[in-house]
Amino acid sequence: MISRRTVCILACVLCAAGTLFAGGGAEADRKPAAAAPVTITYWQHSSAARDTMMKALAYEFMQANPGISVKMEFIPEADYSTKLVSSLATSTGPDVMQVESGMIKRLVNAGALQALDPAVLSADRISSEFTPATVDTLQVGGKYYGLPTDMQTIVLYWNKDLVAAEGLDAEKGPQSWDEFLDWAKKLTKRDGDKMVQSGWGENGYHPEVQAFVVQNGGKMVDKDGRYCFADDPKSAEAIQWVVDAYRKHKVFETKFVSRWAGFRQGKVALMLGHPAMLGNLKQTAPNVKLGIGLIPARAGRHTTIVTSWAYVMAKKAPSSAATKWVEYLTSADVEKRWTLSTGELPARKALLTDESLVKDPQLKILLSSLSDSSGGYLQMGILNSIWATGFEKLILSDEPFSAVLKDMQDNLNKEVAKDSAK
Amino acid sequence: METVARRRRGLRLDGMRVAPYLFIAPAMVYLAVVTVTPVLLAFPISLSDWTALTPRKRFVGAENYLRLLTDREFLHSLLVTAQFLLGVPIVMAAGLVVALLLNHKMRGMTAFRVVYYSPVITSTIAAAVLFDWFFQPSFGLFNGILEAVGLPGIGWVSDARTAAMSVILFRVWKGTGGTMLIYLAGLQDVPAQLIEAAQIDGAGAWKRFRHVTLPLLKPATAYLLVTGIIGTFMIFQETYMLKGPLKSTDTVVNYIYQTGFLGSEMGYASAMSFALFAVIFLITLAQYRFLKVDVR
Repeated sequence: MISRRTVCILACVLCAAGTLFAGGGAEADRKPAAAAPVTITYWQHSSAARDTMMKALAYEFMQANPGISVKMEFIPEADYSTKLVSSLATSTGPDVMQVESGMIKRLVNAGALQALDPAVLSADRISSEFTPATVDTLQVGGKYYGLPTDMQTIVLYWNKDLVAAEGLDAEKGPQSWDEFLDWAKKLTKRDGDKMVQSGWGENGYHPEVQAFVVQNGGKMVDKDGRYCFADDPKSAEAIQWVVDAYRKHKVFETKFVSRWAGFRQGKVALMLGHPAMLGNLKQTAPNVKLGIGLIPARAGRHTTIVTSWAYVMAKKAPSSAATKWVEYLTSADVEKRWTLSTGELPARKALLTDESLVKDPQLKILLSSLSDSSGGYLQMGILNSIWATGFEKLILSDEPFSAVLKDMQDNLNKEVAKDSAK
Repeated sequence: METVARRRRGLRLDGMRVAPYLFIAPAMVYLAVVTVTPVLLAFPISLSDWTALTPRKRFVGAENYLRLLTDREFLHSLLVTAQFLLGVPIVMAAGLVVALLLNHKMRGMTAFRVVYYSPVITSTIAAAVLFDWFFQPSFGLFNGILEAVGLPGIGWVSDARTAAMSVILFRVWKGTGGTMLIYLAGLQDVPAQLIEAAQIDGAGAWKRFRHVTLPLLKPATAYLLVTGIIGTFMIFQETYMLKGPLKSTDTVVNYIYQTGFLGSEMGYASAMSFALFAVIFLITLAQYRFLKVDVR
């Protein structure tokens, strides 16, 4: 009886726990190549605007390249990484796909990607035609393994009404670190102990902090690609400045409101954020009078951080055809259309001064942010997660600053060591 | 003639023997494909260093299991998960109260049952997004209610001290309908004669509930307790969406997901899954032993 019951319990628990693994069975539908000479399968995370645009681009590409057929699959963003990992694990992935740019080194080391075909697009052309910060992180061993998409920098947004109400220049915005912090303090309002308005909604989002580190002359990584910010005084100083804004000057409280929700509600005055937020805010916060400027500077440097995804090619992809497709997706004409329709920044240098783009004053500011930019060093989900968890400790716990910073650095180095160990 | 009759009887007998298996076959096939097979496949993965980025695997023996013993993050996630056990009796109590209220033959009772059950069939993700707004400290519904009755607002999910409680609150809302349904079925099995006999003997409403109804609900209670605890150890979606600071809501399954899908350590993540299975199995076994119940 006992053994029957034990077996019964075992089966019950096994069934329940088994759902943990249910996701592992997911496989992408992949059918043999169609009649066309070369078929490329392409995956991207889905949004209505992107999907429509991408279908049109694929049609135009196939018209221009009759020997190449592009088969597209749009995957909801929440499922994208999980499905991509599952497909790579079973060699059923697409030929061309979008990945976070920080994933490239890991995927190359795992033998999952191939470099772009230099006969179609040479390394020299890539380095001369694209903004360095957008392509530097896409190289492994001197070869380019992808081209950038979904480029984002960090720019400054402010609520003009709140700024003007404080008697500050709502058209210009703060220019330097000191001015920015001064504004943030002035714009923070309390009713007794209770925050009723935040001057700067900040919680250590990694590209924002990295931008301050770079501006301050600090280094996130050393020449071997190992994180070194905790041991670098200039980096630690910049990070301390951000932490002080939260802890010492109390310009924001995570318990007050979510950052962007608060900005939309007119409860947060200043925000650092991606250019893509411009289109979002126009839709979701039409009543907020929006000011846009470059990230505040130290010693006159408005250096910002570029984060991006990348179009990459699987090892098994038809090299020449897939490179042509990637090149087409990042061509000047296509990038310009992306910028005009979605607000995403272009990576090609020629477009930074394109008249049809810079005639829009807000877009001009966003494009100019790329002129002084540096590649980000935390462009992978797990690295973001380690940074965010560590930064929460910096601003919310009483653990010593230097110990937490060192811990963050060690954890990040452990993670990137996985790539070199393979 | 006798042979033919025997053959017919045999066929009928065979049919009676086969029929139950045919009825359960679809469910068994489903379980075998989506549950048992992945579990079996995951075990060799747990003995490897598989990254999930390529099909290549290297056998590492018990290395992943030994690593678990010194992994503070895993221990922390187990402790965080254990906090949510507090929600199990609350969901059960809420479900029982609602079931008692709805166990009457009155007009419109079905509508109430549907209302209370509807959170169960609502998408957890969609509901969590909504609750994230309710939990917003400066303009959310819950602080609005607290302030309306003169109480100070709290940080809810954004405060490490109250984040787990907020998730429990969400789970109570989401789970009460399910427990209500089980208890309602249990209540409708309580023989009316026993209640009447107790009433004739002079037992009041509380005594009838305490000494007649509640003991007869023991199988339902045991079932809900066991499945509630198993479900608690598998919390993922709620804590993925309602994420508290300082890892205050990072459960074991969140850690497994992060390790496997973000950290590309599918071997280690699989080992953690088996460790979690062992924890759930031992706790469930202990419940069966100590509760001394038979839910059949």
